[in-house]
Amino acid sequence: MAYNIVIVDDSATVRSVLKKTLHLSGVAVGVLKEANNGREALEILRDGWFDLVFTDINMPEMNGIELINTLANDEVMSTIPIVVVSTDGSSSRIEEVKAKGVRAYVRKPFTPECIRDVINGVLIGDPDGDEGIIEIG
Amino acid sequence: MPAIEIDPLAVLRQVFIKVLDEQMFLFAEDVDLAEAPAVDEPMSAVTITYHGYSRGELYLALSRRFCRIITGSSLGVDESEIPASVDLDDAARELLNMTCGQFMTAYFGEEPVFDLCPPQCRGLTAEEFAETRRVFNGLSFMVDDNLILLSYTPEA
Repeated sequence: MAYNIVIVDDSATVRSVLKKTLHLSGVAVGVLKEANNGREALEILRDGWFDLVFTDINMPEMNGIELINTLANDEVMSTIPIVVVSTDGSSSRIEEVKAKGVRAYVRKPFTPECIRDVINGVLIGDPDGDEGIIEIG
Repeated sequence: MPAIEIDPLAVLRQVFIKVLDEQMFLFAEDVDLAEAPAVDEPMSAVTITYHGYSRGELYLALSRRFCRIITGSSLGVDESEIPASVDLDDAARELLNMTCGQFMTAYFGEEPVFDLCPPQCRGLTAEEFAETRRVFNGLSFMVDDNLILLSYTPEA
């Protein structure tokens, strides 16, 4: 099964690194879309079905928290697993996104192995999320 | 502020070296700025401000050549293979973004919450860089024969 994924980050470099890491992880990637901020991500997510969203927190126009809140309030899009990839390491922030149902939290800088483990955990390991949020970094 | 007096520049140094190593596979060596070689190439300055628990700014000065190096390292390609459409400032902004995020928790701990403003990058004229170097009071490194300046300025 190929997974449709959206990468949301205002850094083109980070998006490229994540794209490459996804392809190297061995996970079957179907449609892979990129967004510069939360607003662009919403346009993409409303236009098709996606299996996973990677999102940064600090972005212009619409940040990651705003995106997560918007998705959580949508009956259909609230079911899409979200992985936060951020420089922010405060325990409060991690708890905040955890409470909103985010499946994993990866701190930058990240290694390809981190992303691979997250994908395995979120998409393949435990689809019901019983293991709680996966924190890496 | 942390309960124990810790030198923020020492923390910043460790964080920067770690980020360069883990994200860009580059090794930074400390250099005495007074003894560092003269720079005769285009330079860029990147700044990032943070607010929340406290306020301040991180500053990074690096050559345009080094921006290309870290872009290639981040993308996993040779510098000559970097597509023309790639913004060479982006890797520099992200380098300082990651450094700042890691510095916040390393220095202030994991409890305080900070908001980071998007990093800004601009070119420096030779005169601007010379003046920056003359009055600089921060960290200086050599990375692959490239001089890097990094500083931390808390808001009073």
